[in-house]
Amino acid sequence: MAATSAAERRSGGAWRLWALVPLLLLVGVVALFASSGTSLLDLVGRAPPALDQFDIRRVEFKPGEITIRVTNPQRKKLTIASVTVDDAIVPFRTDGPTSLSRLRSSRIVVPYQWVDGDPYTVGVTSSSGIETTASVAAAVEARGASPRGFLGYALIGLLVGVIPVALGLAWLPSLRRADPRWVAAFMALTAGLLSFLALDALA
Amino acid sequence: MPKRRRLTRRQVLVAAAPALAAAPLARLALGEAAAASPARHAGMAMGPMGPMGHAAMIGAEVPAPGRPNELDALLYPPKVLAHKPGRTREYTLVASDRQIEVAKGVFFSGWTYNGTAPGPVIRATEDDLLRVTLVNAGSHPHTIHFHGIHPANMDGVFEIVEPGASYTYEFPARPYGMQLYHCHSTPLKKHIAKGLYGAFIIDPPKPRAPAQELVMLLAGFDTDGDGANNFYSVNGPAFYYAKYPIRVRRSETVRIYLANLTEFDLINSFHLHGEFFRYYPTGSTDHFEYTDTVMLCQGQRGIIEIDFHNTGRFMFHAHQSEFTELGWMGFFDVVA
Repeated sequence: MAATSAAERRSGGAWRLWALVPLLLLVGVVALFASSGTSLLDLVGRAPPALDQFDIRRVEFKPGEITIRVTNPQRKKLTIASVTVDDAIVPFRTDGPTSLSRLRSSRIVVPYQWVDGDPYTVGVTSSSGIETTASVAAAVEARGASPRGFLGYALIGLLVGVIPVALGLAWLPSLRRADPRWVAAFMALTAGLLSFLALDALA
Repeated sequence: MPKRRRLTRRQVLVAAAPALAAAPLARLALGEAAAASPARHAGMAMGPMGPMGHAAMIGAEVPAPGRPNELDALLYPPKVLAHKPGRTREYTLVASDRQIEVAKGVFFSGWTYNGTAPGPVIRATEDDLLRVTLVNAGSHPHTIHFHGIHPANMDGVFEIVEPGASYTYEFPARPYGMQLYHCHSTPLKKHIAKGLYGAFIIDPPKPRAPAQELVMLLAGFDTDGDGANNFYSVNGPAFYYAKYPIRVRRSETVRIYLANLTEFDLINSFHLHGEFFRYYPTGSTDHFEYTDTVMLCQGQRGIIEIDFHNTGRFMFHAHQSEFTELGWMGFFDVVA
């Protein structure tokens, strides 16, 4: 009896090990593809060059100025050459470099007398002439730090972080009585939901 | 009475998980709500006056490429020659692919005659025998199509000049006026938008009165290839004459040979501040209009004559505000 259970335990361990093999192979194949660069794709034709577009992450309106946060999502370096607000070239300065390497960001500051509630479109043109635009449906002043804002964030935090946990814990009495199959089903749903959220957050 | 099962640690975790998951979900939902929230703060956003408005786009503030006097060859036409029928005037234009800085720090893959967009100013007196050689050093077939009167085989439409080849256009220069030239290869829109155009001045047999002569070619640049211009300008770089005003004397007439080669937009225009001028459409007759604003479709051109009443700095620009703020704006510095 003792020998059998030991064998079962061993085979159980091997099963876990074997489950890792496809994962390791997948990592290997992905690494191989990634390291091949464009050499593999070049066999079937040249991929069109990426447009020299920035990623405009955030447009904020402050009294007398508009700030634009840009990131370079491209492989090659991008240079901020020209900035427009509603199709008009405007003087600007940047907090950070004007030449951005991959995934680097900079904040563009444009002195501007904007009109509260009006729609605006800002454009950032790279040195190669490609313009990236972002539209704001209605200009609203961005708030800085204040006790009022602190209170607001605290309440929001309570609402989204504390109260749901408390509500979840209120399930405790019913779960104590639940059939183990239901508990397993809840766990499967929860694991799936968390995995989805984790992946979705990456996108 | 059934025995109560003890709740394991795992079960508690399972119970709490949906609540934990709710946090990021709620954050996403709230984030979207915040982004979509409409304007609530009343009144205008007020702040310190920044260097804004095109009136402030002067000197070092102006985002214009280039150095002082860099465009002189395009702004000041070649000297006028006296009427002498049959005299030969020769020009050579080399078409080539070129990266040109059309706005501060913005480079455009253009096609040029002699390295610039617009190309060089061609000038002849009426009845001169004009001989213009096109050398195609570019990567696409090109031509030169002149406006004016000439034989059918000198029209630059059927005589396609392949890369590496050349062709000489030969015809008597007429009629006098402000003419222009541009590439007429297909696709036509592409060949013009890329920068293949220039001014072509034919002087009348009886010389015009002496004046300070300038050439202004209006054009736009579609740097991202979406069929709409990103920048507008006179003689090439956006805002060049805002950064480097054109100095003229009040004591002598200012004569501008003006042409519009802007692609994509239906019209362009010229407006002068603080002054009126005589505008001779095409410049081939004595007919003129006294105005401060003229409108031109693509290919339309004329001659402007200004007698400044005042000294000082006067703006000139397209009276399409959009073009003005995308680079088509400059200044005259009028001195005594």
